[in-house]
Amino acid sequence: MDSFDHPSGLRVRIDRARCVCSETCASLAPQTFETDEQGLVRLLDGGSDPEAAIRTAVAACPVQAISIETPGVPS
Amino acid sequence: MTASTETGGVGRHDWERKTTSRTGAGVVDDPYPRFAELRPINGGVHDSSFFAMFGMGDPTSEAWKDAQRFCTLSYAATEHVLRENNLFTNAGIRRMTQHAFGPVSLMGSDDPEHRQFRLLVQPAFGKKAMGMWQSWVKPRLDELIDGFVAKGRADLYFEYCSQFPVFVIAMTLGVARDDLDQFQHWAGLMQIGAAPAAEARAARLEVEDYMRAVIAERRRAPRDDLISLLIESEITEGDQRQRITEEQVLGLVCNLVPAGVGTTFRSLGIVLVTLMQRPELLARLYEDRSLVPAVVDEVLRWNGPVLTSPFRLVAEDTEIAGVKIPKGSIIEPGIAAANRDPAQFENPDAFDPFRPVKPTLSFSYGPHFCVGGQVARMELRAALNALLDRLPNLRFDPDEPEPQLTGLLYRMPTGVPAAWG
Repeated sequence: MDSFDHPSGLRVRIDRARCVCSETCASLAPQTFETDEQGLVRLLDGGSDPEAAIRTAVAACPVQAISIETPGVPS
Repeated sequence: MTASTETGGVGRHDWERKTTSRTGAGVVDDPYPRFAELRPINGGVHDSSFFAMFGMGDPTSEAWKDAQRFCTLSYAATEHVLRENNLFTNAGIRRMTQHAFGPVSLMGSDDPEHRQFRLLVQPAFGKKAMGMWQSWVKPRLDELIDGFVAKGRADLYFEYCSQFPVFVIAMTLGVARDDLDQFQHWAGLMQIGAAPAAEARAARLEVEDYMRAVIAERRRAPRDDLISLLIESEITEGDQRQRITEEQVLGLVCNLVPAGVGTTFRSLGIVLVTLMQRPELLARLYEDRSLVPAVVDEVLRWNGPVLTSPFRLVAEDTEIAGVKIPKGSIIEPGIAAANRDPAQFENPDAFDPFRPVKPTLSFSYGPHFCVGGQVARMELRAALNALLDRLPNLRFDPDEPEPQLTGLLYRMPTGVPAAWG
């Protein structure tokens, strides 16, 4: 799974080809992100993290491996 | 800047005092006021090296003698340099460290080679391998505490902090216990800027020889350790399977030994001094261990063990915050100064583990984000918790001078003379 629809309407996408396993996202939004056995980001289907936490995780990723968009709205 | 000539660097042995003095221990005690003074100028882009900023000779510049030098002091400029890795490349580090890290190093390579290398080794530092790391950490911490707990006092910097990360790395690499002191000596010499190039190179060749023998042994009989994990590393892309080379394993080891040893034990020393200077916070920590991760992270922001990510080579003419940076310049991303930028952190000079959670540059940023960051955090939390478990009422030893923090490229306490009970 490389994208996930948050209840707020945000679509969250990850790019594992960039991930450096900083675990920044998992510390800021632990219901949404975790790291797998390869040490790369994986999306969870929890979705109980507040939208603000997800936006902070997107901004804080050291390699811009997470993006968000609103489906139907050009980003 | 304050001079404290009587300490003349820190370290138990003469060679340690010599190596830490080269990088500013006992010469610069508090670099932060100077950073605060210069940060508002030119968007936090300063036109000299960090060592020149403090009137010191630069022990790291041999490889780039004639290059124009810059360093960054603001969060925005530092983050920019680390993120735009194609423009500010690690070729700068490669030439500066190849004597110590060897021809193939994670820190000294750029994408796409760097990415391939990183994918090979990253799992050895992630969740899957954390149990392997932990299995060496806790027994070592208990063993060290057993050695001094009955005395009621000890210098924890030399008897605890400096005795454990090197042990953990050495054991996971298959080093024999009898060779631990020798291994720690080599690790010290291989740190960036700590020894002249010829000495660093000699130490690296010793480590390579030592490790070749261990690798041969592990190929015959693998164990649950880092070196066995590393030599088995491979990645699959489509039908292509790529196996790690022995040269890559040795390159990683020679990069890991200096990077993972000094940083972690100095951080732990800084954590302890910071807490013992704040008895109320320390008392609270005994009662509420859930604060440990925030205390560790705040120490790493407020007074981390390294001043800067190493040299980036500027690949094209560019500009940062309106300052022209010519191709061929060397720029130092000043992560310590960035972590005190008031534009990013409210009241940045205050040590406040209760401040809102915010990312920092303590483990760098961009494609070269510290590969051992999770292991380091785990080690620091475990080491602090083990002391809190067994040494009640921890305080400075009243019969010893109170320690202070010192150092420029590497930050450390002058010691951690402690009493308990």
